[in-house]
Amino acid sequence: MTTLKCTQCGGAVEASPDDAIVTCGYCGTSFMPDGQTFKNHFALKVNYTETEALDTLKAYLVKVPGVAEDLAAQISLKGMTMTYYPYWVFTVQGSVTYQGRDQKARFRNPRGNRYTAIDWEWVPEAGRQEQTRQIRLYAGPPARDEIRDYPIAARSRRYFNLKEAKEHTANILFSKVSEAAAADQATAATRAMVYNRINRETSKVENASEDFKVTDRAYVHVPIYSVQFTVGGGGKVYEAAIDASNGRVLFTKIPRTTSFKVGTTVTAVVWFGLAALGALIAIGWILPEYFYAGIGLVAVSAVLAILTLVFGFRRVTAEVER
Amino acid sequence: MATPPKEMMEALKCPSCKAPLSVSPDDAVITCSFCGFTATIEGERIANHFILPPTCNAAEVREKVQTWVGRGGKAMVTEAGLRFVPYWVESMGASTQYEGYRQTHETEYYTDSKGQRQSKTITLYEPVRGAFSEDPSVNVLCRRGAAFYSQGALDKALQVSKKSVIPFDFKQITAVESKPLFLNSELTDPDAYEIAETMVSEEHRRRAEGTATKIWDCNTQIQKTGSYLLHVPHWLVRYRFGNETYRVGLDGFTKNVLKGEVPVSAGFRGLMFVVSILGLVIGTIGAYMTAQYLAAQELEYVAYAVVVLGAILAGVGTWQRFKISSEKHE
Repeated sequence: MTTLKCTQCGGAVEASPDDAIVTCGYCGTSFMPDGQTFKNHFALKVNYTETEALDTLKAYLVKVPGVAEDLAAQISLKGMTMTYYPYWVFTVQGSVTYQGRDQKARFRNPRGNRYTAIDWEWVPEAGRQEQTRQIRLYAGPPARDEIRDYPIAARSRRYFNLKEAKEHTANILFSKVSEAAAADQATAATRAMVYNRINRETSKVENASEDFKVTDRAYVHVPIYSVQFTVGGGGKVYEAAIDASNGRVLFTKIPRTTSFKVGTTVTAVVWFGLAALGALIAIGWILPEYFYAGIGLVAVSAVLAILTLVFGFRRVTAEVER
Repeated sequence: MATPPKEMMEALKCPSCKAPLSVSPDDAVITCSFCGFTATIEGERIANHFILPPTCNAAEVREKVQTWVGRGGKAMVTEAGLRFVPYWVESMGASTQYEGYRQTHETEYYTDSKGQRQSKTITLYEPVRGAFSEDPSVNVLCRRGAAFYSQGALDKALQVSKKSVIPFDFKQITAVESKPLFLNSELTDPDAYEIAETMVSEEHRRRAEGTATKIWDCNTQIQKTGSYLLHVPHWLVRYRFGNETYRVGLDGFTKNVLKGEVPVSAGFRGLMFVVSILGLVIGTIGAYMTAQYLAAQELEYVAYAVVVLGAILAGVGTWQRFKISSEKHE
């Protein structure tokens, strides 16, 4: 930990050495460790209160098979905090003018309106590709995949407002990725897409003049609730994350009832048992005359057993769109 | 994307009625929710602004969704919100020329030196050369990366219903909803045209590639012929069934449910368990009986196919049995 001095109000900001942009907890100014103030700082609006976010979570969870019907009454909250996760959103405009060679076929040995042979010859090819892309990068410290890959896009962001974050006593995570590094990554991603197109048109690019420029850049904080809860007085703590701007359940661990777990386990054991029986028949140890039934039994039961385990014991689920 | 002086923008007032505008930094075209005035953030009025008129109010939507869900009317609509979703409709003339070949195989029979009849497979190449042109009009959703529930179905429905667009008429909207919510467009006309142009040339390329084994030259020329901004009414409805919440997207012009979630009943889960068991029965007894019956013809692979069929039934049954909710289209 190092202590930085806010460029605006002089307040002390605790930062780790690899933070690239930090936000002052007194005045909300964002700045780089070298003392430069950073202007394009946005945040998504908090539209869901804690209670509303919890209601969304409960309404979603209760639909998952194996979760108690009266889950809402059984949940006890162990903790609920808000974290502002940092993302970079870049718009990159790229254009590439290229010359190269492309393979073109020359037909030989006619037969009716068709030919039995083809020769390839190289012909010059030139063209231009233009694309504008919006690239999103997660910038914070290591986090779950659901948060890293969250498609936040640019939906109705507003300027970062420290007051709003403080009202929710949010923990503001700092970007580990500098603007320059993020711009490089975004440009590289756009470049790959442009060249992907070019390579479809041309077999060999010999000469290219490129122009990639960042036309829009935004540092966006997304408010996300993390929730810890227990169910029915049990000791096991479940976690979930909910987007505070649109109420989407980013992920949640699934609290299943004991009776569901027992039922699913028994079913899975039965399927595995049948699969083993089928295997014995198929290799001819028992009832060799029923070979095909054995093959069928081992194959179908294995599918049943595996899918029952996969779906019945999946520990995490997430809302797809909202 | 246009980059205006952003600090100024947030305090914008409607140039027509002076009401405060709510603007986000990504908005490129703004519609005032008090008078319907629509302009770019630079203040340039959008003249070619059209709308699909909303045809139902909140009460009708609630009733419609209730009927659609069925289940003895036990669904309780908790929320029904109307939003006007912006699209740029870009018209253009597009023509494509392409060149390539189609590869086919043919079996040829001949008599060899020993007088034996022989066959060989030869590869034939047929030159493919063609051109096509059309005047597409492409709908570009003006929200960058902001997918909303049932958006795909709305895009599709729009292909048909956009024939019924009328010039933007604020009174016709306020007759249905006194405080309409317009989503602002995050794309300017040129931004949208660029997207539409890419979509059309990709589509043409796919079409050309569909006619041949390999295309080595594909050239698409596109000319813009016109464009207009279109606001489309879309309802997002949430309803409760028991303790659970589900959502439904409804087209505000056609009144059709675009896409909606329906509860998975215990009966359905039971039925899917039966399907799994059926798969097991077919995969074992079915395979055994098939093998018995077909043994003489040495068609063992039919028995294996029956096993695969049983496994697929069992798999689908299990997957459906554990799913969280069902989706239904109208």
